[in-house]
Amino acid sequence: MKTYVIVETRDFIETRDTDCTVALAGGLAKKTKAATVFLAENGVLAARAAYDAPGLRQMIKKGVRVLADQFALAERGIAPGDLAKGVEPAEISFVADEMAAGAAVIWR
Amino acid sequence: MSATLTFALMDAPFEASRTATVLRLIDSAIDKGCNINVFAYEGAVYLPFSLQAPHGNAVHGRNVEEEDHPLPREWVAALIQKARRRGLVFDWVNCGLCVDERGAVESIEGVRRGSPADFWTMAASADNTLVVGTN
Repeated sequence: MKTYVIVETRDFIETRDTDCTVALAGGLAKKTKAATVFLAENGVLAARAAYDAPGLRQMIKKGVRVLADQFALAERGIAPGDLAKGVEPAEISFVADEMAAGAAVIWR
Repeated sequence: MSATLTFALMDAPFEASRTATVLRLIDSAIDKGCNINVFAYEGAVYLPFSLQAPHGNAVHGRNVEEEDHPLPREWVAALIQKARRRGLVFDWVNCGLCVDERGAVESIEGVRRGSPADFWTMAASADNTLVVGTN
């Protein structure tokens, strides 16, 4: 089965276009059960439990796997304990593995 | 893992976090034994520009050595060398028209000139392709 990875690098509040990521990931999860959003750069700001990110919660509720780049988290002083429920810290090697395995990867 | 991965980059150096992020991704793919193709388009042709030079930071009172300013050309060179040490293919093609537009002719060793047709060839022959566009 085809798997999908969306790399979201933008802050969910700063960039409203992230709504498209939420809609796309949710739709892919519904159809394939194999959609992951990999938060990188300012995208990880939404990974914090203290951040009001309805889109993030919506994706998780719809079955999207949400990962947060550990490098970007560390750069921004976000500790693993600060992450919202359902968000997993991950290395960028996850994306390399998925690419090598044939996943469709979209960079936003 | 012996997959071949193709990347298209568009961001100019010193401007966006995407440069560091995607080069980290490529570094990780090399660690995993992947062969790498890179097609540098638009401002990305300046990533391996050989005339990039480090500078000090007078505001912080640091000289060139103390500032240790990071240079994307050194990151690209490190990736090329790392892939070679591992016996992997690392093919970096700068879009020729983009190079000419910008006068970015001087590139580090290991970078060749090409055209968007090279990207098509790279993508067609790769196991996977990722386009990292400008936002």
